[in-house]
This record gives sequence, C-alpha cells and structure tokens, in this order.
Amino acid sequence: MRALAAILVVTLGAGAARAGEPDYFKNANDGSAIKLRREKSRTPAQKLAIGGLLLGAAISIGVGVYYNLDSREAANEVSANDDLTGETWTPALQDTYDRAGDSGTIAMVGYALGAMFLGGAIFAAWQTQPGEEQVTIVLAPRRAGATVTPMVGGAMVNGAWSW
Amino acid sequence: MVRRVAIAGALLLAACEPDIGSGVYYCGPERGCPPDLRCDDATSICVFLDQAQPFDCGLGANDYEPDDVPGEAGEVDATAGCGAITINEAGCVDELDDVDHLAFVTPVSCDGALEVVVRYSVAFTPLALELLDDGGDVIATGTLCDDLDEFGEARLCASAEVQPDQRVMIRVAAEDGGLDCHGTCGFNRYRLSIF
Repeated sequence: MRALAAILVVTLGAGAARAGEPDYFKNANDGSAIKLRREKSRTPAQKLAIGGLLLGAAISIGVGVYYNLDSREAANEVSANDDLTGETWTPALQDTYDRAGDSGTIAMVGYALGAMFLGGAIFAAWQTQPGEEQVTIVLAPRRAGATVTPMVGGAMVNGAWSW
Repeated sequence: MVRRVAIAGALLLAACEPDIGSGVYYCGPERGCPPDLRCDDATSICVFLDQAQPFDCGLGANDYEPDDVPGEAGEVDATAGCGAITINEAGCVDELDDVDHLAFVTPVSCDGALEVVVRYSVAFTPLALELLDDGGDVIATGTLCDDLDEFGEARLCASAEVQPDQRVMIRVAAEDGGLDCHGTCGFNRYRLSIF
C-alpha cells in the first residue's frame, strides 16, 4: 500500500514538474496510423529555372576560363624582360598583344556573368524552398485470432489479440 | 588539397597582361613598338619614352657627301667585287630626297659576277638599290632578298655581269612610295657590301 502511494506521488509530482514543457506524446500514434513529416518537392518549373541558371553559370565560367587561357598564352608569346630578343615588333606581334587584351576582357565578362548566374541560382533555390508536410500512414486494423497446431497426443492452441 | 587546387587555378589563370621591358625588341615598320615604348631612332630598338633618341646617321656614314649625282660619287679606295675583295661601307639617307652614289673599280681578275647587298632598318623608310655603269646607265636593280632578319633589318640584293677593271657605281636612295611614318621617318642608315 505504501509502495503504491509512493509510485502515485512520484508520478503525479513528475507530471506537475513538467507542466510547462511541451507534451511530446500529444500526437502519439493511436495504434491505427503513423504520422510523419517530410520535405516537399519543388515544382518542375522551379527545378527548370534553377537548373537553367546553374547551366548558364557553368557555360559563362567555362567561356571565361577558355579566354583567360588564350589571353595568358598570347601575353606569354610577346612578354620579354631580359636581353634583346632578336625579334622585331611586327604587326603580327602587335596583333598578338591586342589579342591578349581582348581575350582578357572577354574572360572578365564571362566570369562576371557566371557569378551573376550562380548568385541567381542560389537566390532562386533559397526563395523556392518547399518546406515540410505531414504525412499520415493508416495501419491495417489488428484482429484477434487463434491458431491450432496438431501434435502427438493432441493439439496446441494459441491465441493473439490486441488492446 | 582544396588549397592546392585553388593556388594552381589562380596561377594558371594569372599573368594575362603582357610584360615587355625596354630594349628587348627591334623597332618594326614605321617605328613600330609595343605600347608604352618608343623607337629609339639612334639604335632602332624599342625603349622607354625617356630613353628615345633622335635619328643619327652614325660616324662616317655621310663622309662622301655631297654625292647626290653620279658625277659626285664617292670613290672606294680599293678594287672590289667579283669575289676578290669584299668591301663594306656605312651609308645614310638622311632625308627623302637624299641620293647616295658610290663608285669603285672591279679587279683585273674579275670573273664577271658582281654582287651588292644593302642592309637597312625596317623601322624607317625603305631604300632602293641600283647598279650603274660608268655612263650612268642602270645595269641592275636591287630586289628584296630578306624582308626581315634577326637584327630588325631588310636586305636588298643586286647582281650584275661586269668586266675586269670596270668602273661601277652604286646608287642608294629612299624607295619611291615607301612608308615614311607620314613624313616623319624619311631617313635610314644602311650598310653596303660589295662581293
């Protein structure tokens, strides 16, 4: 009797102490369904938009890298700082010099566009976050039943039920 | 690993601005030089602006002046040509109207083949070369045998069949219609070789 009273006191006291805390068992499964939370999916149009922006970023940056390398190659062809090279500054060398500058400009434009596309893709991904949704899975009801297993000298009877 | 890739990428994409120092290139046609450099007319080499000097014919290049007409041709103090003795002379066309005449006598052992080569900087006005006989008639006209060598120069070559002990004249002048930097580089130094 005293043990039962002590259990009741502890249980009620613990309950009172948790009065201000969230009740995690509020939405406890009632045995007939399971409730889950999962992330929703973006719409096809949103996915297409984000994918297009990422593709644009990849192409722009790729173009930037290509012309950056071309500019570097042209610059290396005409750069000289030590002794007399034995070469004459011909119109062909001037064209190479100009190519270094022009390709460098195109590279910078490509990088800038790539950064814009990438920023746009990140912004679009952030703005189109679909959030979560609650999903309820209904369980098949349990039924009580008995099974009979024949044995030597008789049979074994088993029963199953839910409560 | 990521840091190494980033550094490698930065190095790969770096150095796109040409870096050209002073004194590394010969002047191109019409004083052509890289941006921020100027043609030093005294040496035909591209240098910084404050190092550029005015045109100078050089020591001894105008010793035979005046020699604008065949009758006033400078005389070479030795027989030359026909493979016997090679004579080298420095000359200068100091303006578009300037004409240089140089006379010499072929050796008595001359085998008949005379060759004359004139080398000049491509930075200034191109030159023309002619071989004349003693009467002033043209016996050969120089043609461009090398439009650009490793010294920023072009070469004119002229050859002619001559007689032993024959007086031959060489005429060097600015090429008709040649580029002259819109009138600001109508001059040139040259080196003449008689083979």
